[in-house]
Amino acid sequence: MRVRTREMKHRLTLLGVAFIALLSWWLLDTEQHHNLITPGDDEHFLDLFIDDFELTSTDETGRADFTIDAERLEHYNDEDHSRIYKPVIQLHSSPDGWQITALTGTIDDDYSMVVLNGDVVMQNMIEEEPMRIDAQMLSIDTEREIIETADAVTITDGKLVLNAIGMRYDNRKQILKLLADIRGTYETNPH
Amino acid sequence: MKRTLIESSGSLIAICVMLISIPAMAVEEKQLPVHITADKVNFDLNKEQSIYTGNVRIEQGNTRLQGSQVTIFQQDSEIIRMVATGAPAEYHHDNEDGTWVRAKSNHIQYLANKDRLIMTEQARLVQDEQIIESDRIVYNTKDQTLIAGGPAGKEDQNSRVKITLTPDND
Repeated sequence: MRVRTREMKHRLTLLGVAFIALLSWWLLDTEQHHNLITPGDDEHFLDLFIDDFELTSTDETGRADFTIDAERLEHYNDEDHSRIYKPVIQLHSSPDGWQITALTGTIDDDYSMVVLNGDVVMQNMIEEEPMRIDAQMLSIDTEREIIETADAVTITDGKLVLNAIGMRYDNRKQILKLLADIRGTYETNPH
Repeated sequence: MKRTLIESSGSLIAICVMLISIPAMAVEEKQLPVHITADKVNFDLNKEQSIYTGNVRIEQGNTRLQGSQVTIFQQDSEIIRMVATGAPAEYHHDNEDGTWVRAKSNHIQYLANKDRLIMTEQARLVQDEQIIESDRIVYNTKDQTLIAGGPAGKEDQNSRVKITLTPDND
């Protein structure tokens, strides 16, 4: 009887140790899972970049609607847009076409909205005396082909120079509106 | 001071008035820049046409055209015509000698390449104290003549011309 009791105690002890070991292993494993670093969970980092970026959007016939060129495009993991540097936008759908340049900009992930900042210059691409629009910020709705700003703009069209606050250009209708505080000069004899 | 009032029926198609000496815009002034102010403007890039609205003032030297709306028509980047409307639209010109011309009508059309100002709809032109009122006044800015009355071929008893002359006191 004494031998059996001793063996029983020994087995129980072994079982207890095994249980504690198992429990410890489980706890350690769980903690390790929690401590695993998932990239970007709480961090802001560059997840995509493209040098010499070029994008062309076409209509249903395959003809180019607009193109976006930039020296560099960057996308960050926690943002819903990309950043572009030294962008050049060309709108092809109107008869003359427009080219828009800037220092920087952003493009939504679905390419529906482009916002340009810094020394924005918009010019129509006809050869002689193109109309020119200067601003510090322009937004381009690529689906509706609307270009607008609430900031100051300067329009230069041949001998006419106009300053205004706010602009809205409908590229499909080719109607340009200046929204407030129009002041300008038409040079009749610039020579 | 005696005033002379002349009224004419529309059967008199045109009156060429030389009595009122309206100084023409000096050639030099036409070389001056044109200054534009307004609340808003719409450019129609298809038509080379711009529509200015809201407190529109267009000035060149001592001449001013103003209205609630002014439409500028261009051809090859040159202004060829301006149409001012308002209640009323106005034309002002001041001379170096202190004399002046004031014209008002609901519709003023300036033809740049023809040196002509066409005022319709309650047109009234005043120089100093000499006044011409008619439904239509056409003023030639180059040779200082004006024609008042309805268009030729459209005699109308309602188309009257009223001229008020004030002789000088000398």
